[in-house]
Amino acid sequence: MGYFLAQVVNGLEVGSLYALVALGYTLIYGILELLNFAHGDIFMVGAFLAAGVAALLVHNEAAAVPAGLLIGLMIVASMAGAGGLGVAIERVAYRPLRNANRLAPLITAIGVSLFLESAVQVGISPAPVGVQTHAIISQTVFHLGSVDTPFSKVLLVAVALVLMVGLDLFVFRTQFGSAMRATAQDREAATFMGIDVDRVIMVTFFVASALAGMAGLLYVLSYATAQFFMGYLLGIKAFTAAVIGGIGNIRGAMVGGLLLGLLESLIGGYISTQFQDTFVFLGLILVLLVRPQGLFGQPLTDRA
Amino acid sequence: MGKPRLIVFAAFASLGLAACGGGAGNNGGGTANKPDKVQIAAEGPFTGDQASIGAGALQAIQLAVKDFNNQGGVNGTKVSLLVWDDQHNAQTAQTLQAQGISDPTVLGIVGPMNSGVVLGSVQGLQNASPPLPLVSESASNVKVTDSGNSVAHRVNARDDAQGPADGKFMIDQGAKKVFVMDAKSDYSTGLADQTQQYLTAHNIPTQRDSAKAGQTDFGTIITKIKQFGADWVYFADEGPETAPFVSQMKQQNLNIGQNIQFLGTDGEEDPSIITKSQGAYDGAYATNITADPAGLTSSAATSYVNEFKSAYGSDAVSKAGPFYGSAYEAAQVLLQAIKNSPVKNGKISRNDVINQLGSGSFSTIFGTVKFNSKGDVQGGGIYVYQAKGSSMVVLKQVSG
Amino acid sequence: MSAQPQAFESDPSHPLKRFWESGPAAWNAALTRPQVLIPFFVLAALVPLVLQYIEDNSSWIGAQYWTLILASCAMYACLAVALNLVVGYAGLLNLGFIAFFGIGSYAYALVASDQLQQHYPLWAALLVVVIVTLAFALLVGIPALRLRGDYLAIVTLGFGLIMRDLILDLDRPPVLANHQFGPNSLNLTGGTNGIHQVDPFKLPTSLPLLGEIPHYRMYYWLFLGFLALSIYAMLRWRHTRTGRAWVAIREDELAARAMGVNTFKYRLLAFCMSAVMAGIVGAIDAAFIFNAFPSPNFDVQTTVMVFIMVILGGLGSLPGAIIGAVAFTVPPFLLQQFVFYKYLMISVLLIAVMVFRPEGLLGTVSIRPRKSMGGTLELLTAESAVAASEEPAVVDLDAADVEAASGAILTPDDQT
Repeated sequence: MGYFLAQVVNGLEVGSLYALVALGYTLIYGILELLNFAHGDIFMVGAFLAAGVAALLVHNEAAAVPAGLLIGLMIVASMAGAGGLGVAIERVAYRPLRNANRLAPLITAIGVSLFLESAVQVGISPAPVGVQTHAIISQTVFHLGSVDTPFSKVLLVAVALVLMVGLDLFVFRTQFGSAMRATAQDREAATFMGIDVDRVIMVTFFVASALAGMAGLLYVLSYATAQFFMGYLLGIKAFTAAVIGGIGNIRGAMVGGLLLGLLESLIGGYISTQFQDTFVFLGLILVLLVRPQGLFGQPLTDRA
Repeated sequence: MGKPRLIVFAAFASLGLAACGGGAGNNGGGTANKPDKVQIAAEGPFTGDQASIGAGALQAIQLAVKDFNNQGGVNGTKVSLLVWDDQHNAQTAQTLQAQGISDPTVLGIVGPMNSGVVLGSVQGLQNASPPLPLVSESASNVKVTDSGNSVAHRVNARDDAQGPADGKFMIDQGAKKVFVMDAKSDYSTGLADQTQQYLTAHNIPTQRDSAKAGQTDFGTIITKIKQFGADWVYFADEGPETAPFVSQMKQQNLNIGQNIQFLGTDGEEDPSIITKSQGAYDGAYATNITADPAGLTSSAATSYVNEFKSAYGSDAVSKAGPFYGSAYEAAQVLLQAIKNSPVKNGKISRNDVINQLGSGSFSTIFGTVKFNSKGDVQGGGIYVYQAKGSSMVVLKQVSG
Repeated sequence: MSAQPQAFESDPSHPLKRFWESGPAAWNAALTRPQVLIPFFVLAALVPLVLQYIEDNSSWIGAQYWTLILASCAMYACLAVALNLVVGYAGLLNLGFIAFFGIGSYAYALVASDQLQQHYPLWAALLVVVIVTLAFALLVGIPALRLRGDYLAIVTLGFGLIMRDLILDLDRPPVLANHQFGPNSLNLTGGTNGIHQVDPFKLPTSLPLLGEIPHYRMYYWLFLGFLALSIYAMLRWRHTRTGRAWVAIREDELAARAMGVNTFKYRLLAFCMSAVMAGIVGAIDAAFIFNAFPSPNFDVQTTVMVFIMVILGGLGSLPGAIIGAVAFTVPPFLLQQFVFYKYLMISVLLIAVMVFRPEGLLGTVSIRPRKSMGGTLELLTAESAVAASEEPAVVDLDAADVEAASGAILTPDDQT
């Protein structure tokens, strides 16, 4: 039982990261019907921005500024930086292709993803970059029976939950949220209703990317490392989570992320860590075959 | 091009091919024993994911060539060094080697450093006429010399020496249950297999798992380690996964030196792991298939370390990776073999170099080196380090 | 469009200028004529002989090296043509494309090496390769092609990742839930090292008139030959019912279905053909380098590389695929010190091409953005009507085949 709980805890922790990034995928897909392959790399850039702030302000394992301020700066750097990057990418690479054949922005997104990874690899470091998290947050390890988990991971789950609830409120209870949902439902009709579609899309990208940036910061606090390809596999899994939950559906992305994390940990813990990813993707394929709209999605209409 | 011209052209081409044996240019002999041109190549992952072990090795080889040339080179001819950066990729290696294979003045390779690269390219080297010999400073997979080729030689110990030595070390330290892990790479998988075999043969229960290259979340695996109740974790890896792994061990209450012991392998006696893991690595052990000259007391080793520092900076040794000693040693061996080979018409034949490698005895910074018939050194040792404070300290030398 | 032939005939400009203005469709038509293709392949085949001649008669050494580079170009050209088939012709985003190349190389290696102690003769081995690759293509294609385009991309990407993991992990019997499946000695794929000492094809090593044929030259010719074969097949196919069906599906799937075209069957056919082609190229490669490696043969970056070749050369264009392949194979060899920057440059180029000229150099598939959201609005404005009538026509009206008529970039506005 202790082992099962321990793997469940692992799963929830990893799943919270997946959920935050999956939210971004689903927001962008809902608005533009674009699978933004570069989203996982925006997460990676957010992590590097946070690591960069830490590198500047932490010397010899001691923070040069009070911990609260340091974390605040890291939050601003990662969220605003990632958000800005997302907006810039949309403007430069996706907007020109908004009315093109479906293939075009997908191919461009792959290019953007590869670009971000190479740029960081060449410009910052091909090897993993370490972060002195000891000077930033508490390193206490909590013990719950036979389950041991550090403060940083508990923080990760807590913050992710808060952000998810916040996003849900934003999308379903505010006016701007209505505008987002309207644009997602029918872009042309939204313009007729007086909604500034370009602005809505821009804000959506900002929010989605800022969430990914925050996920990057939380990752850095837990794992104390950042490397240029960290967004690749995590992006694909987060994206799998979004699809399983129903792409375009926000609650689906949250549930999908947590569920995927759980599945991964339990499969790894009870069946095989080596074939973990294989089973996860087989699961994805199965879901797509049996229920392509995902758990929470609407049944797909036959659009060519 | 019309048909008749095609035939004439092809006839010329085949004549050219028939006359191919002479090679490039016949400049005739210089002075009796002075070859016209001598080249060797340094091959390894000098950039890319394994640059941390490759960069230092390249510096060592360059230094070796410089020293050799300063002492007169090959009877007066200076040796030129080609740099082949294979980036830990066998296919890239094949293309780079192709440049050297058709050039008869390229007489040998110091490297490749990775077992997988050697295994993936040795066929081309063997099939060349004449075959192109290699002396590796770090390829440890047993198949490199077991597969019956005449070109592969290495100055480092093999996996089937290191595995049992590692296993014996753990048993001697009181291991009861060992969780054996590798990093799914050409080097670590073979080694971990050897170690596990040894442990099982000595009735130590083991559980086997692997980390994927580039993996950073080890939560699931570490929970498994706790479930298994291991008292030792053996992680064969070249380095990058170690720091996050031990940090996460600590996050799940597995503290090295207190409630668990850790043994790593080549690439993990890197002191930067201590910093990167923010101290979680303190107390961990690591073994290496070659010696670190800085940890030896012989005059040859000490003067080499001083020379390395004065050439590349006082902190160069700490950044030079695990093979900066064996790379120099391997280069010395190859260069001496070339020097001892006969010069005919201003040329040295690779076949003679291969013969010299097989029969000769070479003096290096680590003492005398002699290869057995397969191309392995006789009497290679394994060195154990431990992380203490902020550096890695040499504990002792062991064998299996 | 009756105004057009008149405008064309009275145009006083030079025929070459007319050719240039006629656009990619006509260029492709011109470049894929037998009068151009056959000399091209003959010359390409002669290059290594020329290089050898130069090497034997001067102090230059490099025939082997350059032939190797050319062999690499030819191999990537074959892959680009195969990808062009599935993406350009049939409009399917197969992100796991390179996995089929890898499957082909491993399938060949398993029946022609000591890994499983099998050493099949050439024809049997190739048959095995085709069957295995086809099986995987059907396994992935049949479920995936029922899904929408974006989902197909994800599924094929997932497939590529699964294959990579399987190849890396099957060097020992899999252990699932503490049960070992298979004997201890089971080693299917050689893990990270791959499969070594793969038998080369048993082909003659010397031919009359051509003398001794070194290994690398033979394989350059094999890749070149397969390229020629693929291009020939593509050209013939275009004018069959299948070829026309592909174009119809790519341009407007709904309309094609309304016309009774079985879209699923044709998409599956394109998918499978492209996969089998990639598999055969993989087998030749395994025989060439004596090894089957997991990397780069299963890496997503390699798929992206082939993508950029196809995109830059132009979707739907066969000569474009060859140009793209050469453009991206030769520079990394020559600029070894810049290999570090390779993917950075490739990705920037890919984005730039997609944003500014998505049809690449010679592309005939219009994935360009439509000017407005509907299209119907566009036709009603007088300006666009005038602009449409001023577009130059294709040069060779007889050769204005299906591809030109439906894929011409010249008239983006009249697609309703």
